[in-house]
Amino acid sequence: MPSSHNINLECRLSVALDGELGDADKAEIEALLAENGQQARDIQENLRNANAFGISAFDEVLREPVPLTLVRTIKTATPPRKAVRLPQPQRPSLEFKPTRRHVIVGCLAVALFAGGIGFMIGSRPQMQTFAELAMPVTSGWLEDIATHHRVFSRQTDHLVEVSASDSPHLVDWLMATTGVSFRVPNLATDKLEFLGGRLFSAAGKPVGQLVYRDEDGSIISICFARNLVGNDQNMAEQIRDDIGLIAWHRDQTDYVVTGASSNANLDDIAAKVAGQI
Amino acid sequence: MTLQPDHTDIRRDLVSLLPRLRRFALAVCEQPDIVDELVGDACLQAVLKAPQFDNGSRLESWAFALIQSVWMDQPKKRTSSGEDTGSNGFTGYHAILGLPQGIAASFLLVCVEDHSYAEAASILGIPPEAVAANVVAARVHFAHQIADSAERRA
Repeated sequence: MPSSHNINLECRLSVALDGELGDADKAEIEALLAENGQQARDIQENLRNANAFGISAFDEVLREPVPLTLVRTIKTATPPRKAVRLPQPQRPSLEFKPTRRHVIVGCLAVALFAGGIGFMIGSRPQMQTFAELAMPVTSGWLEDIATHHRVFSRQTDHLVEVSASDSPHLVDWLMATTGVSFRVPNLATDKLEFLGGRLFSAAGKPVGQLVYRDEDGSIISICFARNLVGNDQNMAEQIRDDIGLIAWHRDQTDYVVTGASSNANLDDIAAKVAGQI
Repeated sequence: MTLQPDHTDIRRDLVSLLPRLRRFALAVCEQPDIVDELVGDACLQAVLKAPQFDNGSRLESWAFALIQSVWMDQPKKRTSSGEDTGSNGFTGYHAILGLPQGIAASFLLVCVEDHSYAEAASILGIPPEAVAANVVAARVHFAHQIADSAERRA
């Protein structure tokens, strides 16, 4: 059993180990180490070893995989709204007291308007417009892309149709098929290896896909298609189960970066892609 | 044109901190089965309180303090400590889970996360002297564990 003197020495040596001693206390500890000789140095060594053991034990914990449900809970948490209510000037109260004449005129106006609408619908020619003939773009195009990513990212031996070694052909092929002019982004600084590309369809349109792999073997891909949906230039992140998608629209082209929803850097990667592609 | 992600949104940063937040939560509650619930609750609070976060300070310290606060607000779960109902991978960390109650978080903050006694005290809501005492106690405990395992090997 350690003596109270040793316990006191242990405490002071421990505080010294953490660098929390002042200059005067440091000098005192050094004198103490010299005074107690081997015993004090043994205690100091034990504390150091124990410290290293504890740090190592806690570092092991970091290797535990983070549950996807926890990642999704945080990624889909609703941030606070920045609603600012400005003081409104008091509105003057308007008194509405219609006369009999006003009521009759109003009713006639409504009847004429409704009749006009009905006439236009009834006499509509039986001809379809171009918009009606064109294939409608489904709002589920992101689902198509997420499904595609989920299926193909697991085919580790068949990830791409054209490999990175044949990039010029890949670019020519995808540009000709999708109508999108692009460059293959270099994401080596994010430790992403370019593997190649492929073509698939989403919402009935051809979509080009560039495929990358990170250090852990996870697949991240860039998909692009001509005028697939919207005109939203801002990046928007969406999660479809285990797949995270960051989509934006620019110059009549829709882009989506896809990867695991647990990938915290997906938006950084998307920002770099937007700057390079 | 270069599109930039929204840097006022802390959700991405919280996700990248998750391994460290889970480790801190384990040190605080020492109950593997509620670590993820504790971290989830604290992170949701962090997202809601994001406008209050001072960008000049460390996000992880703020998140640690929120985890501690959420834990202190859950007296029922605190009293159920010791029941081994763990179902995640943390149950195997006997070196940490075997520490005397309440000292693991101090050791983690000071020795692993490189916080000063004052910073750790602020996060845990205890005096700096208590942090120093906890760190010594943790080191002594680990020293005993080393000695025990050496004896068993001998």
